[in-house]
Amino acid sequence: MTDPHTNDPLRERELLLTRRRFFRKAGATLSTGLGALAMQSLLGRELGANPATLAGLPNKAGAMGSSALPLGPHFKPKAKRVIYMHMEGAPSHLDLYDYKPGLRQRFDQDLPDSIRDGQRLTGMTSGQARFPVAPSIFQFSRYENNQNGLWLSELLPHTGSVAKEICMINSMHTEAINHEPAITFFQTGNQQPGRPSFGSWMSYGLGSANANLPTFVVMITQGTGNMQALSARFWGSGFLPSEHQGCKMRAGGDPVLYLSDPDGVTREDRRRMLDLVGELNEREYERSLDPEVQARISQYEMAYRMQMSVPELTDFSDEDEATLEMYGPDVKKPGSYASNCLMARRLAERGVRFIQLYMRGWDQLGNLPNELRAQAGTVDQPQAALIKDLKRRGLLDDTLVLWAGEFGRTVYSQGQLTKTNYGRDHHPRAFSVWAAGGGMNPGISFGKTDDFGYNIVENPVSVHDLHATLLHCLGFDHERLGYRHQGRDMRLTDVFGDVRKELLA
Amino acid sequence: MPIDSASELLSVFGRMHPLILHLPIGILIGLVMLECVNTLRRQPVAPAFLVFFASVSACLAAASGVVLHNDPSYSASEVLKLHEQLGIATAACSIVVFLLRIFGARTMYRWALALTVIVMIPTGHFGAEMTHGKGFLFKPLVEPKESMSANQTTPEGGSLILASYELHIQHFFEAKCNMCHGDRKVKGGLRTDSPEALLAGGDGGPAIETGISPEDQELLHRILLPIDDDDHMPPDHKAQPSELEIQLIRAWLAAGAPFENEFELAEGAKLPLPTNPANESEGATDPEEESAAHAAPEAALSAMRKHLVHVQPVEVGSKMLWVDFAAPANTTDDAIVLELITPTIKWISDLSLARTQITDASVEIISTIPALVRLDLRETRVTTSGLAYLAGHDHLRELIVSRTHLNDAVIETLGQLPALERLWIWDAGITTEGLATLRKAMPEVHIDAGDVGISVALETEETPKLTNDASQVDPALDPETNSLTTQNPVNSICLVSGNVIDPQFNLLHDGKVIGFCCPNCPKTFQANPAKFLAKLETENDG
Repeated sequence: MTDPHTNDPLRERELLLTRRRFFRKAGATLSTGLGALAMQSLLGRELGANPATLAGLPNKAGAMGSSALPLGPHFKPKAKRVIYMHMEGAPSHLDLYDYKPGLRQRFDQDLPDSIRDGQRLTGMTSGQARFPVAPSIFQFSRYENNQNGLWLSELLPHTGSVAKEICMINSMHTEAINHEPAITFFQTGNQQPGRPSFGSWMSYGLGSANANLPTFVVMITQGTGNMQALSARFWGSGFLPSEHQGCKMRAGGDPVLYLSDPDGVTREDRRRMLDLVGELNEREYERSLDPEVQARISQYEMAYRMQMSVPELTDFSDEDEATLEMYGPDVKKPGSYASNCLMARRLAERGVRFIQLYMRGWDQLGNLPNELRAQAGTVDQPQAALIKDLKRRGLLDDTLVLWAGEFGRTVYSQGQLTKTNYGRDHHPRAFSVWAAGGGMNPGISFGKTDDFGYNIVENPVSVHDLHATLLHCLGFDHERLGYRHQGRDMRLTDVFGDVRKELLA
Repeated sequence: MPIDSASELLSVFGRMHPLILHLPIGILIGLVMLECVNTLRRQPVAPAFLVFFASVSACLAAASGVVLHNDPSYSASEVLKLHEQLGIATAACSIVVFLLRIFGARTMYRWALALTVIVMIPTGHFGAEMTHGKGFLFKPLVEPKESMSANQTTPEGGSLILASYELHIQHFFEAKCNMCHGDRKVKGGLRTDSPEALLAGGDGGPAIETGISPEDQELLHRILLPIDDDDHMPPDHKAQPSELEIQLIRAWLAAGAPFENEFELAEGAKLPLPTNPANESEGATDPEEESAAHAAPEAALSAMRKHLVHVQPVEVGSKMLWVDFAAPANTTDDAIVLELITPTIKWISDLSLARTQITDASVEIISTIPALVRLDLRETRVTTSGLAYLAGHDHLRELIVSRTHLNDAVIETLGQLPALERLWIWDAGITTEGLATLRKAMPEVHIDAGDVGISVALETEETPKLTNDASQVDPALDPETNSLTTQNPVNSICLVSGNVIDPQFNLLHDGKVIGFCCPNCPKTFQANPAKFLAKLETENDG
């Protein structure tokens, strides 16, 4: 039971009790005021210290079992941090990444039943009389990569310029067909809510590399199209201790809520208040042994340090003009995708482990050409700039960048199909995602779909496979990164997932 | 002796602390004994003047102590702080005792007296620890074990033990003297880190003189002075030489302080154990092998973490470290790097000082990290002359100097990094020509100056035309071919799988209708029709 990976609640409680007994004994021995003072300073120092700095060495967190236990990677990692750009609403792989020129001669033909092969439909197209093939109207170009080139749509010219860094996966598939369960599945490895998100697993597994900032930061950009709900549980910590949940940085006002002190409250006042509250919390913890109390104490201390670190982080005045220009005209607009991409780089260079950008509005069920043009136009330049900026700073080598939606879109049109307009329904059987840096194989394409971009014909990659592969880059064996909850060792990949070695550099 | 100011008198008063402090100890303990006897014999309490003397002497002792604290020869330590606070508490208690003796009840006075002595005892203990060193009191209980271990490493019974400057004396100086008398500090003008410097002596004259007894030579004389003497060396808050080490020094001086030849130790003497293992590794060839033996000192790691520096083993089970100054970047300067890096120098493999306030001085320290593999100096004030310190480093594989302040002269230094594989040098002041020279000089090194890896479009398809042209359509997947389902295929079992065919998957190939069992087999068939058609012939022949 010395293996920290098996979180036995009884063993944890035993450890907690031992610790409590130790302090009680120490308190009795050092009966003078000095003894009490020494004990207090000892406690104070430990609380201020970052529990997640030196993986593998015993520390307070280790003695507490579940709370803030940094496991550290299982083997030498290629990536030290992740930037995960999630395209909420599911972008059309057929209009961006999965080049199907043959479809251009199949305009308005019915999708063969042998292709659809009993695929269930969403409520939005299940009533449609026919499923007419809607070829992409966008022109594709082949960009130089480390194989025989990467075909990308005209909507992504800037992304094309970093094709040599991109590891394109054209053969992703997922289980869910609607946004909420599909995003939940992509973030947590399960369609049912309640599991920890990828970022939380990484916060738990890697620990912090900058005690002044949260380990897992989430930023959201409002898109232009049809936007689905984005629940905070997508970055929730599930059954992991709550300090591992994502910290959402906002676009307007205070980037982090309630971070500025109220008028008339000085930093010294805040410190004294935190000391007192910390003492009361410590007493409560001694009474209840609830690890959530410890989480609360460490969050208060984190917030105190963030009062200093966040204003410096969010102030772009130290960026030079050329860099700002590279990210595009929106970069100075807080909350824009460009601004969030630049912020992601700033967070990455400050050691934040998991940075997640949500871009909303990819759900093009109708009027796809116009909406997608606007949507892709918003993301193309900033995301390419982010890759280039990371690369020239030497950060791309150990930063894993992931670009993904929760599923793909159908080859047949949802609603009216014309030569200039169409829509696409949700499609879980095949879609494209890409990664860059952090130990992923650069400049390759992996997996193939059939001529309709509907079924995978070569090298299918499940969401669990992707998770397992990404975890591998971060130094984790996905079968060993676990947490015991309700009597079962839980994993990000549940009981599935294979590391796809072909995707690794 | 002329006296310039009151402050000098005050400092003399401070130095009387070791004298004064014994008065309250004696008087207070005497008082306690007296009161014990008085209580047992039911006699009246001790005279007030005795209590008064106790109180006054305690106050004087405390006051002189506080004055002495300000003397520059004392460095602030936890023990000193504790001793001072307890001393003041003792003095305060003694005043209370006196007041209670005058105005209060007898019982209260006696309890207060007892309490005062209880506070005084740890005061005295910590005070003694400062002058005699930690663990002085219980040393005799611990000592026998130490000498046993010493016996195991030195030849037993050998009457003649030889020592040398190079093997023994030099280590003694490194462990006990060079911190203040070396390349970092030169206190009193004396350096002890080389034979020449030792012979040259310091401001107070020579440290070593031949022809006079060892005890009269300044070096040993200072060591042998009582620890609370101001001239005693090493200073009382520093590690003190052991008895064996003093014997070693005495023997060396008695032999005329030879730097080349060996010298004999006195009868029955033993060689001291090496005191500072860090110095043992000076000549180690493979730093990784060396550090594999033991992990980085925990105290040094704690110091880093306290400063919010991220420290983590590079992989599980490794003692080598990834050290990242990302969190304290704004406040990290050369002094902090010196303080935090120096104790862990052997264990650092991946070091990031990106965006810190360091200058070239830090690179000099970094260049002594033997096993450094990856170094990130991005966005620092490091210049070409700073990087020059790295020349000849034979482990450094990855170097990030983007946004530093270099010039083309750095090419020479970079050429002297034999292990270098990857270099990031974007916006670092290198000219285009310089970059070209660099790339030519090091073709095997991957150099990223923000100008590589940009992909261009190799081709662009024609403007897409959307048509409904069946002739272009792949027959295997085309709904039109469904009419084939009414025709009889030439085969009865699937050529791919060997299962019974299903007419709905019929396929027209070379004018023949071929049957398949499932929708996947036609695709397999079309990938290599000849292979499967060969099967068809066999089937027909059979």
